[in-house]
Amino acid sequence: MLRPARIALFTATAVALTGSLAACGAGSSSSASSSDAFSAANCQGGTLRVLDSAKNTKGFDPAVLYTSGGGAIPRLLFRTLTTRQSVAGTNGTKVVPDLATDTGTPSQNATVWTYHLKSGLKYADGTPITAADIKYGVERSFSPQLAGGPPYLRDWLVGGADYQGPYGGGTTDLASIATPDPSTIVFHLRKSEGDFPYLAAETQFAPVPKAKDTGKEYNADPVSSGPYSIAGFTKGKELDLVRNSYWSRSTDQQRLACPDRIDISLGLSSAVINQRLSASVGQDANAITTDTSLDAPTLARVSADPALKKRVVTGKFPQIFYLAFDLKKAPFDNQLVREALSYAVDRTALVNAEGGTQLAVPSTTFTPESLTAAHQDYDYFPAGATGNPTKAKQLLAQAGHPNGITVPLAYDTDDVNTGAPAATALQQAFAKAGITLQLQPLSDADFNSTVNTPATQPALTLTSWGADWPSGGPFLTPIFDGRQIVTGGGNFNLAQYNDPAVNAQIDKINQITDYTAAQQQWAALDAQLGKLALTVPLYEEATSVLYGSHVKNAYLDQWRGWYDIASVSVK
Amino acid sequence: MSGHVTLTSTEPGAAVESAAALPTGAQRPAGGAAGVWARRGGRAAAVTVGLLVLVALTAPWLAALEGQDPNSFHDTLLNSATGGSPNGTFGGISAQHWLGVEPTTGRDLFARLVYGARVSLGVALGATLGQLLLGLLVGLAAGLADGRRGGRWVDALLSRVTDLALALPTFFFSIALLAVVPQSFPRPLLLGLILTGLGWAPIARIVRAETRVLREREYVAAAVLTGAGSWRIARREILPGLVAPVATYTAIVIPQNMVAEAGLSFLGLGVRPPTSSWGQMLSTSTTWFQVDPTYVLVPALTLLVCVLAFAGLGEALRVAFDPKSPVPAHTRRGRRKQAAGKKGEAR
Amino acid sequence: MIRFLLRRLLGAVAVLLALAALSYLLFYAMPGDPAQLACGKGCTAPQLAQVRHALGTDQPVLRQFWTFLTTLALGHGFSTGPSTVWCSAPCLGYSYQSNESVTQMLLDRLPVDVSLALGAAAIWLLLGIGTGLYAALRPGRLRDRVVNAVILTLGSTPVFVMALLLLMGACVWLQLLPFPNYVPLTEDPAQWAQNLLLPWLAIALVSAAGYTRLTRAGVLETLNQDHIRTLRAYGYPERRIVLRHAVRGALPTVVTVAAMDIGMVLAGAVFTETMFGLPGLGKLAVESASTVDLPVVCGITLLAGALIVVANTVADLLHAALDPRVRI
Repeated sequence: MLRPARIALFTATAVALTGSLAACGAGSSSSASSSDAFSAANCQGGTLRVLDSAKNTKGFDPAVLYTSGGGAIPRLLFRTLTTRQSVAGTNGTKVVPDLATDTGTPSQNATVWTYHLKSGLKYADGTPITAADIKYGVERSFSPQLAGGPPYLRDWLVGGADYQGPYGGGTTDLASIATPDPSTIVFHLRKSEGDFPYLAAETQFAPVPKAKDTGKEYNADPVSSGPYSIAGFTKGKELDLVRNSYWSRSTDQQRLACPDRIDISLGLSSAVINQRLSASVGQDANAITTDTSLDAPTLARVSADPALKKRVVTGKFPQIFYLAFDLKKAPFDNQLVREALSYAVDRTALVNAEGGTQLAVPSTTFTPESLTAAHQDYDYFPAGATGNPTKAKQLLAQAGHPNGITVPLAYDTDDVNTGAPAATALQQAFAKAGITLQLQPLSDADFNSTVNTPATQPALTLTSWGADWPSGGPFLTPIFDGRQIVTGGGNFNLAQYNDPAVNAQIDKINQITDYTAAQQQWAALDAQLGKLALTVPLYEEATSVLYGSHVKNAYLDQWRGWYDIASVSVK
Repeated sequence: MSGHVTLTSTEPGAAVESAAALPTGAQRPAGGAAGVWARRGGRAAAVTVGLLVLVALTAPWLAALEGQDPNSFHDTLLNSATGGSPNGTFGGISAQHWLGVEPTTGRDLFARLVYGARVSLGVALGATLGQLLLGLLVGLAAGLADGRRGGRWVDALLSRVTDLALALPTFFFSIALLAVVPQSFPRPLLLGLILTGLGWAPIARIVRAETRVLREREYVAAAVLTGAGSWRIARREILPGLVAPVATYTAIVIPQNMVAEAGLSFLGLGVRPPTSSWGQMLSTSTTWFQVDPTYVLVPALTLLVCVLAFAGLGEALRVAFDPKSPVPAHTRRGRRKQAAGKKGEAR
Repeated sequence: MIRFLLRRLLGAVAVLLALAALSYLLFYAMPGDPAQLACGKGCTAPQLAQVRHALGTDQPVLRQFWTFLTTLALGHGFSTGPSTVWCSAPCLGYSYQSNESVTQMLLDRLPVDVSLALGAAAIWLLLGIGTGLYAALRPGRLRDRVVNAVILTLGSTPVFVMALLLLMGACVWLQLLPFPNYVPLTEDPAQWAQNLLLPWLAIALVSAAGYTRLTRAGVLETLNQDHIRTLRAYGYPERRIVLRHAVRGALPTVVTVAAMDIGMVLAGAVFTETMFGLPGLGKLAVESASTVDLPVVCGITLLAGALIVVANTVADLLHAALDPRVRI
């Protein structure tokens, strides 16, 4: 009875042992050949493996996806009117034509946008892509069954607020999108939006053939217009992509589409992903990840290994982590109190709480440095590296709180970044200035509905804001435009700040269709708003990601701060 | 929570100990070797438990002795360029920080550990007390309910409620309960109450069964004949008879509650920051186990030692109370159902 | 027998109904709006109302629960937008968040827990019965005491601590194994076993303690009986008496308890799944609870409850079959 037990256990271990040893052997032999330079012209071939932690249980419905610039994997399946420029560096924040011949022709003060489709565009099933399909794609994103996309279309398109999509329930057609001929589409906006070409890069602008629309079930097998189509998809587990033979580089300058196949594993734990990428063994040498960056402990491990360090790329998605005040609630109606908090902040502790200088960079401006075009440096309430509690106390006394204040701080417990570590770091720093923070943790499910509804919004919230495209417009407008205050939920103007002069200024900038000129104006507006201490900007995030030893042309683009999977090669 | 501990500690344990010595030509008298182990181990366990309780009670002084507090950040002790890991070896252990510091914050681990003992032990002991009180109350009421005065219905009702409580997926439900109760409610108290609410049923079942047996004994019957009231009978005649089984079961329940608290904190549902508990410390440390093993081992081993000490104490108690007789057979079903209610989810 | 099963079935249905109702109400009361989560960050108020209506969460809670029950019993049609699909009974509905069929989600997860339960059970039975016998052969001796101490230690270890120590030991210090990453048995049996080895061990080491004690107790109890004395008197070797005859005394309880324990692990092992990143029912339960995904929450409660009821019934049947003294 005993012996068999022992033997059984021993053999099990032995099997495991040989398994991993074999794997190690494969690894050491396969690390040499990645020295050839990358060439876009002959990068085709091979199978790229993607190790992701996201489960993608919602699948890939272009109406439901909420991406920035078309996302990573979705951009392989869906072409949109415009898209982001696939290059490393600052030019990666530029919008370029995709299905359309240009980034759009504005008229009537940027309230009407006209696009013409390139010729010869086809879906993966060989049928031609028409302007009506793009109109239909936008329309179905209004259906309650397919909720989840960005809010801009509803806000901008004439009649968008009341439209409920094409599946019955009143009018089935949105009149503000016109398709005068099969290759022309015209959008009528209710206000000037110079940034419309940037919005047109989101997946809602991907064509959907009406005949193939299966509503909620479309997400499992959408009709591809991009370089790849879905060969197999098990939600939560894996997604296999193969070439779409009807796609060609001649109509698409942005996607290199190097690998012949892309095998995506979903729902892996982040520890497993980082371990496999660092081992880079066997097929994992051809692997990247589109969603798992290095966490602090892994970073500590990688930093100690020069060979691993070579396979780490870093980048930033323009996103600011900040403290939001509700100006309607005491004591934050008083600017002196808000300034006191600005002085009391210890950004060093916050950066450490996020995992150190490789994962977070302090920021004193609301528009972070990584949103280069719209960034203007300022630090009106200099807290130094670790905070200035003396100055903070002094301001509090001036504001009539000589004995300090006690305020609640709401934060999202499920958010690794704005969660407990940052909240406790703030609590410790503020205690030195006589500010007692009562932590009010909210679960992810609770956070949005509580914080983004003015009636239930806490006086002080630790949150973050990232722009849907690299422009000061989507960065500042939802936060500081007084007309964006919504009472029923989905409010992001947490300060509930409403200054008609600022609103008018926003309208003026939105009429500018020249990117650089507009961004300068946004930067100036941010610097102007900063003086009011409406928020306390804390830090921005940096992303460090590993890639397999065979992978080439892996860079983090500046639009999203992530791999441009359409540019990666494994040959 | 840890089902098997329950099952086996109450189950044939006692029967075994007594049976153990008898056959097979072993020379020792009944209760011999096992008894010795239990007594010696029991002594060690009792001392450990006593020490841990002392640590919890004197946490502020212990931290002061070290010269630290559980919540202060120490940025200078961290290497910000390598993920915020502690400088120095073994997680930054030094004369100032006896067990090192927490990565990314630099909080003192020794101070967090001794303060954490307050929550971990407090919740475990509090919940056990609550379970005991509720279990005794329900069990006695059901056990004493008199068939002649409609008591049968009382018994039936209480027994069905107990059954349902045993069948509840405890762990799953505590997740919901912890989320439902408003944030302002004190968290350790809430944890104690939830563990109480979900864990009283096995005790009620044991008490009911034991009461039924005791009730049939002559001296109780005599008391009934003299016209003593139910409450008086319960207090004078039944309760003393319940001490042994209930005390034994209690010693088993304490570590279960401790593990339950740690488990909930481990899943991020326990105490709120900046409060520490052993489960919370363990939970935040897991991702660091490759880089900073000290950070993980400190709470893991503490929790392990503590649970072990309580388990050892339970074992010793059982032997001390009644080394020969097994736990009555009628508690079997109870254990089984209790197991059904709890343990799978704790794995 | 049939009467017994029928009675069990009726009891089970009652308990499961009560469980479903309780969990529905409890999780409904959790803060957080499933419609808000489904609708996403950019959701506007009127859009939110539409989504609530589409999900049916704008209805009063009792009505929602009634719909859940009728859907389960009779099936239900679900609108996909352009058309309607019929989900036939027993239908657990569709997840609020992922819009997947709940039945399908559960079926996807179950193999993980089946693998986990069966593998772990094999190890804990071997370990438990083995050590139990080992201890019983020389009761009271050093080896008995050592086994007792080791078993008490292992059995008292919280499973997440055990899992952590195993991970640290096997993956970091000794570097014997890569991080576990579930591979289905059908895909690659060797990988399946290799990746599940640590989770199996974590559960088995914690669980084996019970079986050691059950075995030891059962064996010693049997050894005390007359027929064993007779065998001894005839001069049979002690080892043979124990291995051949005394084991039988321990078997009914061991098998019964094992059946129930397997039921438990099948119903979801939250900690083991969380620690090792296994996509099982326990992990799904925690995830769906945090997103207030009521159809999934109730689906899991029902399945877990049913698995436990079945396991208990099997345990009782086995017990009756193995132990002639017990009747059902």
